[in-house]
Amino acid sequence: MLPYLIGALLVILLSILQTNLLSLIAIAGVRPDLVLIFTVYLANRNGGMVGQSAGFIGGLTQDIFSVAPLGFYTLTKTVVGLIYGSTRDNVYLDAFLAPFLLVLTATLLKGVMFLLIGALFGVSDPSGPVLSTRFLIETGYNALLAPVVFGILGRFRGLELDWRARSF
Amino acid sequence: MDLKGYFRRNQTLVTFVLLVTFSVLSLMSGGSAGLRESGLSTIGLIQRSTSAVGAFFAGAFESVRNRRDLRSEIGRLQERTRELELQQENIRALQIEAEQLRATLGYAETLEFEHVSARVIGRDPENIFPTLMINRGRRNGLERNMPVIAVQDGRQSLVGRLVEVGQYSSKVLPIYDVDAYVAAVHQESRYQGLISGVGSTHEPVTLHHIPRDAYSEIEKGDAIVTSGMRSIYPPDIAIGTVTSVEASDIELNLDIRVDPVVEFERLEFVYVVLQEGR
Repeated sequence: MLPYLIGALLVILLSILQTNLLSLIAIAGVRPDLVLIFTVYLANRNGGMVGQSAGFIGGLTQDIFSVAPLGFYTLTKTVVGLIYGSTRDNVYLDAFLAPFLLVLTATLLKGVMFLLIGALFGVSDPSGPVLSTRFLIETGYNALLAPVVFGILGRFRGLELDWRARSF
Repeated sequence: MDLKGYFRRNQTLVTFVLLVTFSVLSLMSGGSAGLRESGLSTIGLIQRSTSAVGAFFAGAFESVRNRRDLRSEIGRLQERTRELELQQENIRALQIEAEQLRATLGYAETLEFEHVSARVIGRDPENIFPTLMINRGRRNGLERNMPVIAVQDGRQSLVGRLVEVGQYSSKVLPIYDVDAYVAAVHQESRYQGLISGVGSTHEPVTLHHIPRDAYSEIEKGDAIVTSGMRSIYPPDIAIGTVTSVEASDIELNLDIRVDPVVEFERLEFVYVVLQEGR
């Protein structure tokens, strides 16, 4: 139980850090999405169940801190967590390329989800920010940061939450 | 049918359906204000702490940068001289900080409104929805839709309004949001319109609904202020200056771009207006 609690607290903490501390490492005012990177990592290591749970908690915390409608980030990150859970046992995590590509595609998927949710639920049109240079910068930033974050997270064996038998 | 066995076998899928259902219902219902405010009140406390840590690191980075410059200048000096210069540097940093605080206090005293001063402790976790988080909430007498202003470089100007208020922290919707719609007026001609942005601090905001007839009266550099008409914002607070005026052949209204007075990226302190007049 403790590893799950630590994982949940960690994803909440990352969501909070994303609102303030990450401004220190912003490029052209664009901050990386650490919650997304963390969700993809957990999903890849532990499967869809852990991935979607991390995505849900991280997204919900982000919704609380944002003016986005409640559920906007929650739904996005939950879906990303589930989908990237399917990479477990299918994508071997090397030092650079796999984390880079996983997070690159996850960020693009996030953008598509924003557009879909925006269109389906009449959320204040997010197409402007998504179809912009800022989103491209974020995509590249996340992808380049992923190998570093994955490398750091890989040192914490406690994040292997072992849902092997029960997940996809 | 063994329902329990089915759930156990499809645990991930069942959980996913539950989580998605929660998200979709939240989106459809517009979200529970109670849940958001409770979350804001509890998790907001942690955010205040991490913001303080952030301020510490920002100060530390700045100190390291200053020290590196200093070291190149005084490399040839003795250890004692180096210590003295470092002390001098610390004193200078304290003086600058004291001047900033004095200026902030001075500006606060010049405000015409009853207000609560607040520090910006966070921004939107993603780069999609513009949000500012401040370290004041219901406990400080704040309420939803209260106007938020700032003083930068000696100028009092509009930041936005409160959209959610927790116990200890609140969310500000800045004027560059696509849904901001601030009632504004061209200061000289008194033509009235609505200001909104595109959600980015790097793009100017737009003054909508100004008729084409006003084309000859509005020029680059003109001031745009709040109108106060049927609005939550007090009148005559600076919003920005006109950067371009375009008249399309097919549009009845002008397309007026306005550069906000506030530099949102370096905004540290704001003032929440409680009520007009002291």
